[in-house]
Amino acid sequence: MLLSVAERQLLVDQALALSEQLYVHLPLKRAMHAVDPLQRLKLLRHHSANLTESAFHAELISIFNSLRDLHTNYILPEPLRTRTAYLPFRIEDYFEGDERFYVVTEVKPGTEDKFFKRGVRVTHWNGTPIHRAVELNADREAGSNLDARHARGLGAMTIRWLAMSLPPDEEWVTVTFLGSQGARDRRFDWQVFESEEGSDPLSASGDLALVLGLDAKAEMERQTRKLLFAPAAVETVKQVQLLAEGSAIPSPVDFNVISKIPDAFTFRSIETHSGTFGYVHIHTFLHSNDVAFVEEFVRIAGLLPQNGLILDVRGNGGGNILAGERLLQVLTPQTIDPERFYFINSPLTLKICETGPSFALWRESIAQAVETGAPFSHGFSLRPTEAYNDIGQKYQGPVVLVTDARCYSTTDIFCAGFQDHEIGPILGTSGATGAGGANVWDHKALLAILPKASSPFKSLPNNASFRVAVRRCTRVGKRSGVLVEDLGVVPEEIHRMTQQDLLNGNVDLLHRAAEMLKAMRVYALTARMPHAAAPQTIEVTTRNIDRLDVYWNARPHESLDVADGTTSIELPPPDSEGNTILDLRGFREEKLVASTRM
Amino acid sequence: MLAKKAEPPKKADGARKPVGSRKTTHARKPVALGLPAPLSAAEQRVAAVDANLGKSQNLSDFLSEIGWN
Repeated sequence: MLLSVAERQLLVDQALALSEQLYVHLPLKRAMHAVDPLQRLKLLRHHSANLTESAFHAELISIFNSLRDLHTNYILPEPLRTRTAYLPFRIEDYFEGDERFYVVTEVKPGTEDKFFKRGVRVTHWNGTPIHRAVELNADREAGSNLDARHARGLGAMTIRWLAMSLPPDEEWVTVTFLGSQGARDRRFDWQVFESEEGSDPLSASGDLALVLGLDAKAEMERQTRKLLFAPAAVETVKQVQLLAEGSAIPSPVDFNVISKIPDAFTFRSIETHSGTFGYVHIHTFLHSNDVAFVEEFVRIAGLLPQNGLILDVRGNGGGNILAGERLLQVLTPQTIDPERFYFINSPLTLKICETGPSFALWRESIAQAVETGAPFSHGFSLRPTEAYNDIGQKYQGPVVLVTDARCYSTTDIFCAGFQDHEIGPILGTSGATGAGGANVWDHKALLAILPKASSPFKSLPNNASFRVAVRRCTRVGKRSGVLVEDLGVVPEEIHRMTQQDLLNGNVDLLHRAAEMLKAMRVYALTARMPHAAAPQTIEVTTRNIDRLDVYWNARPHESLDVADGTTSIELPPPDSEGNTILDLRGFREEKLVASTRM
Repeated sequence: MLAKKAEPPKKADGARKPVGSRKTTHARKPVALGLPAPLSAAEQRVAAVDANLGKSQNLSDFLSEIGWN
């Protein structure tokens, strides 16, 4: 037995406390999915002594899954928490016309044979047509829209993190596939491995634990896929880690082609029919230091062609919301208006907001709810607006963002910000992103926030836990007030993945993104000091800009008409505090199109 | 349980072939004495993945161990 009856009841009581008093999406989920999690939890408590171990956990997981919220989860106790079940291959889907097919895209080294290998088309799963098997699996997953559910169901066909998914019912799978030598069957046993210490996406603590927007299951699946199929990438992460710790490594790492945060970024220049452009894939926003994260992106962007960037966030389950939202500023001359976050109004959220300055902004409106009857607090950004605009634009070329239904939470928020600030078009491989619009806290963080005497939360047995969406967010700009949760971000254009994309480096997808970049205008606005002896003279080079506004130490200094080429500007001396901050804003037909800061 | 040690193969008349008398059908690369044979690139990938995963076990064995069902 993993849990005693008393321990089961404690789990249900804790689930009730956080669902009733903290869960910010409860009214939305009740309406949108016609569910009653509170009554189901009460019934589970009543029956918990009579259920088998597996039936108890299955029901608790099912209750949370019914919310269709990848933020709000039950985390199973040890030893399930640190185990992942897997099959030694990956399947992905592509389209031919309107018909969807499933193909093996990765095989664990040592598993291939002359029949079963990368590129074979899967037709059946334990005798069930594959599309139906994926559909059934998707129904057990918590994705909040159809695309998201399908993507989660497909991922869980071959990887199940047992902290958040029940073990597969079947001990093995018989895959029927079509290869070059016709149809064949092959049986695969489900295997289980134990995660390394430190790889748990639920291990965030301190400040990071309070600014997370993360689909933890997607993050664990991503890490597992790297372990199974990309040993070279795992090795690179280890080498860079050793280097950062000052240890010797066998061969040098070339940071012109490898990121200093290699788990988060991969990048390269790509040659397409439409020209040569930069390509950056952001695999995760899960990084404790948002400043270092943004700095590394700026460094990478500086290494790539400046005439256009394909920014790929497919498969990114989110992470540090500050990393995602602060990154927006380096891609646009616009001032970033961050998303607003709201608590649900309850005595418990009021108590949390009385604990210290971090949540003080929200306190007043929650306290007023007794009189106003408002269901939610007022909305505020996680940090003051200046924190999202402290660097300014660093990449001035056009940008196309590539998304899919596995983008979640911080990545949803990043995509929403990208669209709301009109940075560029979004090219999606699904109809919408995963639609996770909230800041998520785990049970451990809740235990730490509230004084023990006044907290309804108690330590849980065997490292079991819960996660809950505590602050929902809304969009800004033309979509001001629109929820991200359950709606997601709808791309401007959809590209359905092709077989060539899956088996040949996203070739069709990248060509399409490059075509979009080619059709966009390239702006440039750079400044340099040509003579060190005369630091007050600046040379400004512009392209496709007809007006230049100059700000010196945050004050307007000069506005001049410019054409493509170089213009000299005389600056005043430093202010009384020695500040010399130059802001240049470039306009075309009265529209702000580029900016730079020195 | 330990696997039973394989017996040397029998000749057509029933007598045992002397150990080491079998002919290989292809020449093997010479290997320095006392050193393990170098791994091919494919074998290195297999070894790297196995090392990254640590010890894997069958799902059924794991669930039996923890008394899941």
